Amino acid sequence: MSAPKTEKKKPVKKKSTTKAVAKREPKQITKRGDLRGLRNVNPQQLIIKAIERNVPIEILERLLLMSDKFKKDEAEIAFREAMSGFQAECPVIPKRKIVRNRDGTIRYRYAPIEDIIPLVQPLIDKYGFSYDIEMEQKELTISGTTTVFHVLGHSKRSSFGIPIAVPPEMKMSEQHKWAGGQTYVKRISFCNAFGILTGDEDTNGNGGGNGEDPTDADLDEKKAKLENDLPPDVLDGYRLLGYGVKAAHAFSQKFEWNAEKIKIEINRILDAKNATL
Amino acid sequence: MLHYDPEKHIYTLSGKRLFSVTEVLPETDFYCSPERLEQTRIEGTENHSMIKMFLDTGDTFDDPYIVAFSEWLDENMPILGKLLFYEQPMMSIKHVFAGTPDMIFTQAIIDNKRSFGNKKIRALQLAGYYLLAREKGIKKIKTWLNISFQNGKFHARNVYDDRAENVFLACLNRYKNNQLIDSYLKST
Repeated sequence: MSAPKTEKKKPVKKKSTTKAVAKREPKQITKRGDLRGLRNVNPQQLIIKAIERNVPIEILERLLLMSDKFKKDEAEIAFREAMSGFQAECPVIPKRKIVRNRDGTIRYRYAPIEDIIPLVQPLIDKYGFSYDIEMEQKELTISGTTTVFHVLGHSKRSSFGIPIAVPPEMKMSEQHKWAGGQTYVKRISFCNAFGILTGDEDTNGNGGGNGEDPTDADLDEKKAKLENDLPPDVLDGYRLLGYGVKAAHAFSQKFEWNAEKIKIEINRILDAKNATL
Repeated sequence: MLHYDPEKHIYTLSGKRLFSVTEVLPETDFYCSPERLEQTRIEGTENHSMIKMFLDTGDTFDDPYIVAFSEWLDENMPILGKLLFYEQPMMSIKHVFAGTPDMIFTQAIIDNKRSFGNKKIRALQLAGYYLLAREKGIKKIKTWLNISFQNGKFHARNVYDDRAENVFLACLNRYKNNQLIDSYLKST
């Protein structure tokens, strides 16, 4: 990857805010809130009664604090309930958009944010949510924070950031790079905040399908090291445990590629397994 | 005794082949090149073995994939319950089929996938695993989770469908019948 040209520039800090949805009237949620069984105690009524009975100001203050905490707890429970309902109903968004290699083959697919929002907006409305996406650029990284608000007052933030770097063969202007990164970060931050899932693979993060998928070359390299550095009985041990190349490599690294140490650990695991059978 | 050949993905009991959960599932309209299919198969196997290693040792090995799984597990433990089995080949004596559920907890069955696919098909697969678990004495479980690693973290989707158990058994019978018909037609 080539070093981005903005390296010598002073750190840039831009901030933009996308107000997406205005807060809505709680139609269903109010009803759901009324139904919750544990709310037999109403702090407001307690405060009214306390005022009527002329209780000391200290007790009144405590009641007000209790009332505030009660409201916060109620709001958090309502948020979680609404999010659970939202996620249960939210469809897996299909990855419609195709990015091709120069030879026309498919490089990866993704679900653009303009596809995601129309599909999830009715559910966002239904469950009383609204959201706000805040983008931030700092030096060579771009990050996005999505805050999800619920009508009863609770909110939750989810942040996602990436360094801005593109492969040299992808000739992109500085503006194009930042714009592309911004769209990607916005999409991921939004999806993570709501727990929205997209189907099939996505390599728009300059990485593998899930960011961690081993490439063929990577696996071949690890396999060669395992075969070169470890005796056959250790490799048989890994096979018995059902460990693949990646797992066996990580395990060996943990035990400094010391065959004796690895054998002891493999036997320990196998003994534990046999004991439970 | 049940024997499983992981390379050929074949289950046998006293030398007799048993049908597996995945082979009896209906085929979906899906196309990908054989190379890509092989690559995703390897990725799937590698990822499963990473999770298995974590469950064997309790160590994340500082691997981002395992760390993310460990975090997901911690967050969701109250709904999952206690881990009973993982990556253990199982067979149904009653319905004569076999399979290897990824994880069976007291309150949930989990299948780890590279991506979230057809919810109905996933429910059928988990119904098969649930039938296997039931013969091990597991009580009714209605949390059938597909989990998938996306954007650096694990996500879950409950695919439970109360029709899936019966439909899975229908698929199993259909597959057995098709095999019987095929072997009849091929016989001399």
